[in-house]
Amino acid sequence: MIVARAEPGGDPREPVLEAAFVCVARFGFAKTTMEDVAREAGLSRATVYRVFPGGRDELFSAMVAWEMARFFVRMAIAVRDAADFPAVVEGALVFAHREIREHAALQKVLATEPERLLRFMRLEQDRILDAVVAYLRPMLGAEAAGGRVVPGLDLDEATRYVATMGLSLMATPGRFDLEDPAVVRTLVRREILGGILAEPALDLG
Amino acid sequence: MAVTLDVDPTPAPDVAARAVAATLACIARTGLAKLTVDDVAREAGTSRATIYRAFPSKQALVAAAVAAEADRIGAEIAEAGAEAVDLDDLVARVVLAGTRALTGCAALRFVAEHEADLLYPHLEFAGGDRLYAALGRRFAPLFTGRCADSQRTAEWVARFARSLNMAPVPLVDPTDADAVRRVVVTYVTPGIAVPGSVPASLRPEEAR
Repeated sequence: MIVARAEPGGDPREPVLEAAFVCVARFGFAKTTMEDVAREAGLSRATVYRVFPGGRDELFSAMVAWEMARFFVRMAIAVRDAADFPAVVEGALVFAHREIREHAALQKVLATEPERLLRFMRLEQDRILDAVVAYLRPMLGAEAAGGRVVPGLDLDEATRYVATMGLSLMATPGRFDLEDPAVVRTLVRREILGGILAEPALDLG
Repeated sequence: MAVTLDVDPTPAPDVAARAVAATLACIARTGLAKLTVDDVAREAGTSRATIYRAFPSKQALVAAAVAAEADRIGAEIAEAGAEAVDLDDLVARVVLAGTRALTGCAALRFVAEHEADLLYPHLEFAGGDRLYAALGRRFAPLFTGRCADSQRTAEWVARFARSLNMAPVPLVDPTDADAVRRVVVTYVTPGIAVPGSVPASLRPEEAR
């Protein structure tokens, strides 16, 4: 399960991260100062530095990681009622596409400071991939137990294929219009799950 | 300094070709940020003015160098794919040749290792979309007649190759031919095979 870093009550980083997010969405990375963040959080500059002694770079990196974790928590919530494994993957792609398009802060820094944003995002790659794999693996296991997966498949590896290609599509859909449910359905059941789903189990047409 | 350059050293290569080769050599040595036209001129054994007559700016020089490398890599991949016996073999050859060509490009390797910030805007989000579209167009002819939609397939294979080469934890070692063939046959080709293999269940109106 993907777990939010935001623990209610405890984490002293939380209000600072939240404030940094608001400031970066407003000013971008380059123009956001530790003073801006402190003011936005209603904290002293000293407090902000106590939580993030490394200054802006440490804070921004942590903020991107924090927002990415929140993104995947929202995704997990969005797909939790999906009927089966293919529906989970479809739901995740549709959700990610809409979230990314409508994510004002992401779109702003992507347009003005892509190098910096992508550097911070790259630092989270491993963790995100691991989290998505951990989330999907039991679902694929259930699918396999129901006889809907190609027999003999290495389910750990198959899950990593799905997660890797899925994450690739979220940031960079390429030719695929992820707003079109029919396109997403075909993409998921053809390119992503074509070698994983046991076709007869679809029992349609 | 070892620089892989398959530009044929013809007896008297023209200024443009020499400048492009020199640019790649300089990038492989010191990267994009520190690249100067002076360095390129010195490397090419010519003058700044001569370089500027062929290329109006450093940007133009870099663009020409990128295009030349893309041509070389594209040709290597196409050549490897031309000998494929079937779709499995074709996809595996393309992925392996792509990996070889990319790792053989010293300039790209330097930028990826030391100047990744300059590279990633061309690989993610809108930049990645443009890259995949270009790769889809470039390699579609290789897949014509072997699958349902050759450009779509070429783009997917490019995406898979990129994931193998740049994912934090690649599915398998992209230089291990047997392992690459196995994952291609298991996961990639079943998803891109001929139209008949796409189940009728894909029709949206028959959604469960």
